[in-house]
Amino acid sequence: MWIKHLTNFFTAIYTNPTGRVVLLTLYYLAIIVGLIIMYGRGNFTTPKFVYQGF
Amino acid sequence: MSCRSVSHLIAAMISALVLIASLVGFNVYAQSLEMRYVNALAPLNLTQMENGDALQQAALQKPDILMVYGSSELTLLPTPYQADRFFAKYPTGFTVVDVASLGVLSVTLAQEFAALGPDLRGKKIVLSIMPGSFFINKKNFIENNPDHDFAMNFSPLRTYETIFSPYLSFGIKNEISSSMLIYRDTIRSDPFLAFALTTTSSTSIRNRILYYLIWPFGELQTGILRLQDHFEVVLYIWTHHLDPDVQKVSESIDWNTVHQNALAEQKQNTTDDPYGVENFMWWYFDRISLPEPAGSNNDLYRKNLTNSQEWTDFKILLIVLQQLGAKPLILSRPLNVPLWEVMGVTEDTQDIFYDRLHSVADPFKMPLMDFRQYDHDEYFSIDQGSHTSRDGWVYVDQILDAYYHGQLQP
Repeated sequence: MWIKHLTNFFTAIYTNPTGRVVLLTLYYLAIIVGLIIMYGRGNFTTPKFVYQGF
Repeated sequence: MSCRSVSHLIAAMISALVLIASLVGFNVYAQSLEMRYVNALAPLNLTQMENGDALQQAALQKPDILMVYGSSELTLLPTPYQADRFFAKYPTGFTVVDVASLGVLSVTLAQEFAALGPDLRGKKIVLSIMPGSFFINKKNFIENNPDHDFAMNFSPLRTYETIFSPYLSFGIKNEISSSMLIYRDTIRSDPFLAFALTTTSSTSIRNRILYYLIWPFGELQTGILRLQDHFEVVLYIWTHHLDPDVQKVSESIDWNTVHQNALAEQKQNTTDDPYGVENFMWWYFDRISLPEPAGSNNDLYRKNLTNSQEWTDFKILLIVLQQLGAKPLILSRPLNVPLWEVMGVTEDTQDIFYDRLHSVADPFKMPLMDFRQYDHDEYFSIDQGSHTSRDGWVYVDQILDAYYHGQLQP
């Protein structure tokens, strides 16, 4: 039942031009945030010193 | 264009603007946080201090921090006389941050400085070097593997900052790129960077055009790496309970007493041999039959010293410092003359190091301390490479103190 209410709610917003822009913006931002979380961390570690048997 | 398409376009533009504003805001926030906590972070030897830029840039803005850049001469022997520990509580009004690790080459240091760019202008910093870094690989002599050393200290952030730096001439970027391409095994892990280096290492018109074509992508990648660097520092501060107000204990230093204590400790740690070599280093010499005949290794010494790539890269490093307007003190270490003599190298041959050092460095008119007056002191260094001993550190500490306070005698 709540899924139907949610669908109706978003459909109502989406049919409104301003609401559509807001929803799409949130959607795009969610994708960007997801990508940053998944791939955003840098790797600043370097290989450890290895004794080279000299 | 349909209404729906316009909605997508507007949403995409708003998202891009929000993203850019967020990143700019984060950058400003991160810089303010780094400035507030840098004194507390300085003594922790964090990876970001060694391999990033953000913390170093913050430290350079602090008047009570003296940055010392170098290699294993700063790190090999852990002792309370090491400058960062000796000045940890700001006894004379400042502390020292060692940015150093084992096997740092001059080309790596050149990138470190290039990455700091305009933050170095007018700043007092110390460039630490030692004779051992200027020898090429040779078994039973001075042994290092530059490929390994380069890989161990490679920082993509600094390399991008160097290649796409607007503060350096194309000529010097060309020379740095050529030096870096010697270590292709490390570079090829990043194909775009390898391409950028290859392009920059050539002076042809075609490659110069290619350089400017890839420049926007290089700048973008540099920006991403800078943000990642900031993020790592911010994350560390968020996840650790740090007091930004560090403890400072003012005290006068009795250098004579400190010297006596350090020398006594040094002698206690060189009991395995008659040459003043640190006990944990003696295994290296124990397999060589010492003393070797006088002068028997003169040719080997001369060849390994004069053919080293480090001289070329050291000059590049000094040009970078000059172009960025830094005010460095070049702090070398004395040769370990008595030890080299028992290793079969006569003193006049050893002196090639000083001659070469001054021939490269003197034209830059930067203050240079070579500590030559101590090269017969068998307790200044712990080995033939001139890694600093406990007593040697006290001499270095005295110089750093005088340099910071503007009392260095030429």
